[in-house]
Amino acid sequence: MALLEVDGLKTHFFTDKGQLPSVDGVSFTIDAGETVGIVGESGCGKSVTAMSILRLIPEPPGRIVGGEIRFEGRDLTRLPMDELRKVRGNDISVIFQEPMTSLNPVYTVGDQIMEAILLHQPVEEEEARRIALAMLERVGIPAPEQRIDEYPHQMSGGMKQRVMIAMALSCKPKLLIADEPTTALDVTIQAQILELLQELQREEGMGVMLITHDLGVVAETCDRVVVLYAGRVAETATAIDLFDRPTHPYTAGLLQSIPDRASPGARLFTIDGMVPSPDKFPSGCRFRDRCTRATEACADMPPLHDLGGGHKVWCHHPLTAAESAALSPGGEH
Amino acid sequence: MTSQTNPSDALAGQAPPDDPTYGEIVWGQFVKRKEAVGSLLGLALLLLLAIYAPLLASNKPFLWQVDGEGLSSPWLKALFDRNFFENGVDIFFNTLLVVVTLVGPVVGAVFWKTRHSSRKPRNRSRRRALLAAGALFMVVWTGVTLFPQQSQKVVYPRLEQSLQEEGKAVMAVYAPIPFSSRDGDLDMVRLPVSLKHFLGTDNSGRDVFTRLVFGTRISLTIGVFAVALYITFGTFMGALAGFYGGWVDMAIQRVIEVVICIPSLFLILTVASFIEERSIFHIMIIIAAVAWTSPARLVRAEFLRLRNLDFVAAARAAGYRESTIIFKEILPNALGPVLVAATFGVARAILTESTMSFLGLGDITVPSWGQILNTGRGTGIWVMILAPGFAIFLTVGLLNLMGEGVRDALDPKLRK
Repeated sequence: MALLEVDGLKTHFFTDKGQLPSVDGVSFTIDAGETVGIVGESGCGKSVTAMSILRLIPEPPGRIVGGEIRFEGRDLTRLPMDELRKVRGNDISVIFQEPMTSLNPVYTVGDQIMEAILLHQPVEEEEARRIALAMLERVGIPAPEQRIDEYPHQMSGGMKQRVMIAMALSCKPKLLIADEPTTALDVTIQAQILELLQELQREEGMGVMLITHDLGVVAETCDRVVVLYAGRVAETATAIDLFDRPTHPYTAGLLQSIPDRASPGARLFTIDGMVPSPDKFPSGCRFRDRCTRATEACADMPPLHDLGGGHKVWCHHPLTAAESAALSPGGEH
Repeated sequence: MTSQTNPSDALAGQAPPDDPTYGEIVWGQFVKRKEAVGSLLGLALLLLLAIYAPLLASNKPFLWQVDGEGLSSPWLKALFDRNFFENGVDIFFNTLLVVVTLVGPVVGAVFWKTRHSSRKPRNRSRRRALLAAGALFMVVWTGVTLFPQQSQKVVYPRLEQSLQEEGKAVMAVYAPIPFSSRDGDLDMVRLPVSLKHFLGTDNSGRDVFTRLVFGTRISLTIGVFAVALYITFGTFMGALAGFYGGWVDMAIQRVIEVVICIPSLFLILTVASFIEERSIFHIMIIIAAVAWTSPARLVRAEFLRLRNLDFVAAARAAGYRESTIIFKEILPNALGPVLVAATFGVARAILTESTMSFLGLGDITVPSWGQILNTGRGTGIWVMILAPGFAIFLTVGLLNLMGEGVRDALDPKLRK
């Protein structure tokens, strides 16, 4: 049994514009010890999916209208609030995108980590402080005995993100949801943080759900990838398969748009247009307005192509093996 | 790669051990302004005056001895005497007098000794000292309130006079001003200003200066407690409105609007006239009932801003209860503007009470400055009107100056 099974998740927002299907039937699984990347452009439903797992969607306007989220067999969408609170932060932790605002400015980082520990673990304050110190040490914060009594404003962005990770991992969660954990950091720190996450994951054996729009990050860290587009899964595969054989035209477009793949002076490849807002999702394949391969058939729901080995694509006109090979990094170099 | 620290992290690692906290930064800004520090000192003096008023003016002798035997201190006994100090406020301040005198030096010494030590142990020992003082206060105050002491009313200056006429040797040491704020002497009605009565006496023969000194207690109490009352309530309502939004916000906002719509002075006067025996506690509640809307709106606005920050989402994701998120995570971040409003609020509450008293809708049993003003008006002696007016002016002015200091200190744009 997978650690986390998301099955046909539908999170809709009820607004003046009507019922917006931001996440509309997303399914995927995460095993213990596995890193699953959730990829897509801004507005494609990555964060809403992640927040739905712990029911952190503000309600109203949002609501989970369908599907199941089974964590160790328990459906989180139907869990009573006090049960859910025990899962939050204890079994499943979240790291947010913006380290600058993710820590409470009025408490020292030590107090904040200890608070989280005391909430979920039957330990005394002294012991909580010891754990907090050990965690700060593990996430690579220099002079933790001194740093533990400092306030967030005394730290750099990279340090704060390390503190966030320390806090998220202090209760030894089984699943870590990292919502674009490196987007707000500069490149060298990004690499350090990702490496740290991988290292800690290996040691703790937890599952990681890594939300990102950066395919470079995916290539570096993920075992499997779920490509989301407009609230639906477009393609899912192992990271190797995805880069070797991108089959959905959207995935292909994303891979082509990685800047370092363009030769100097050449124009960067872009997918024309933007993710439509949820009230303007087209019927059938939601990518069809931007897709170069779209035909009239695309007005119907796209069919599933199972390429084997967990590689699944929902498309009327998937790329052929030859077309994929021409795109993949191996085919070019 | 994690073993290497990046340059900026390494640099930050060398930060001095005690970077200033937010509170220390604000305090540093506050003390930079002369008028702010001056007003704080002035208010501290007023508070001391309020606490030590019986030491300055009392018609109970500190020491009392007749014919060389039975040395006693009626003053000390009277401190907690319900016949002498009828009012709860006086009992409160007298308890404060005892506790501050006993523990004040110790607390001061702790603060002085720890002024150079680093933050954590300093805060711990300071907190401990203050907690001990607070505990002692609560013990004394509860004891005094639960077991009221009531002895016979004795007017010592008169007793002294009659004893001396009987030819007895009386030794009595009085406070510098040997009058009570409450006991009148109908032989001394409407005396003019003299060295004995600095501000004369009123229609009931009470020394106006003494009443003015004791009025500090009443006015400060009304200001501070009324504000504490409505800041607490308003903050609570604002927090709920801002955090939950939706219909909760809707309902609270409409209530606020209705309260704001009613001219507060008329509401206050109307409500006050319905209460038969007005005590200053009624007055505080009435003031609080109309004033809670402004902190509520301030806190609501702060909550609207803060609730969308990631640390709130992070707190949710960590499994905190909603009450913890509201009061422990968000609220401390929203209190800056409330602090400013509170300082100005104390000044306004004092003015409101004075207005009510002046219009005859206050608590006539207490010597609040508004009451003194009102009784002074009946005498037609100008110092009796001017003196309480000046006391009000001084206190309100100091509070407003301090409010401005706090506001500027909290404003990051004004930091140099």
